[in-house]
Amino acid sequence: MSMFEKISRTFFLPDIQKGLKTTIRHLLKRPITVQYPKERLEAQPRFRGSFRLLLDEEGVEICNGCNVCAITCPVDCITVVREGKGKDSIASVFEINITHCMYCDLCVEACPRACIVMTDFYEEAEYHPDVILDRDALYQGKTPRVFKK
Amino acid sequence: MALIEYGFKEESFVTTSIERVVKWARKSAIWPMTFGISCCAIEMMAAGASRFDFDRFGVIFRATPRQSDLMIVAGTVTHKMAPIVKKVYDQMPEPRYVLAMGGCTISGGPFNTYSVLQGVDKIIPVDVHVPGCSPRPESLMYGIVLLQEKIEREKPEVGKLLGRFLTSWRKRNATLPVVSS
Repeated sequence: MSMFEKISRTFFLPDIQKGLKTTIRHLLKRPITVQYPKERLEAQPRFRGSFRLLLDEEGVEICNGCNVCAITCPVDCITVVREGKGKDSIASVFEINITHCMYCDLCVEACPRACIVMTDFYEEAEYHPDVILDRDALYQGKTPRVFKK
Repeated sequence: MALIEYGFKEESFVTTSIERVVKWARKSAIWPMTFGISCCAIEMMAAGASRFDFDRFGVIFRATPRQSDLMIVAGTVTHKMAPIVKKVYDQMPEPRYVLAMGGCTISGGPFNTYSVLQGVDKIIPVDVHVPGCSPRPESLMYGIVLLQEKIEREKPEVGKLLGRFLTSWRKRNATLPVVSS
């Protein structure tokens, strides 16, 4: 045995190299952690986040207050009051209780005019257990907070 | 001899600087006690794993209520489990916070039945509610960020804390009085 082999055997260097092979291989790879407040992942196409009501091309509301989404909801968190009759009816009150909502997407599937959609906004944590989004908030939609540093 | 109770009565530069340090320490090292009951526990574990790392926020999961400051109630709480939730909450030392994760803990979720407790805030006081079924790990992290902001806005009464510490330091060598029958 050469001098080099003798020294490395005394200090267990071949054994250390065998044991730490996986650790060192992972040290040299890119980390997979997503640094959440500063980076966010791309949203998948059918992700079920918070809600948004749609307007059509002329800016008129599509929703006519038919109440199908409120009936379909398993948690009963949608409140709709219809005003008017037939083709000219609109929803005068449209409220969704977003802390009770379970984001199951059944109201979107049930809507006959496709006027409610789910966006990719998922930061809905709140201090109060009953937070209600009314019509104006739903037509506007929410954007995620920007965290500096 | 009478024992004097120490305490700082009015606010001063000393107490407000100590307050800032105490608030920063409390919000940067929130140690939760995992109370994962059902599906939301999986998302909580995903938040603690390596893709969305909770350790970056100073959050280390402790399995014991005696050494934790936060209780994350994750999952449906049934009537059979409710006294256990209350018992574990009572075993946590102050300052303690509760985060209700998922639709079932906020309002019973889709399970409006005879055996499910409709919202865990019927038995314990909740500080942050995170809706979703189950909420994404980033959504839970946003809930922790909101809790950190709530801790930042609190007033830890440093005068009382210092007073209690000094009083117990004085009593450190005291012995119990002997009762002979």
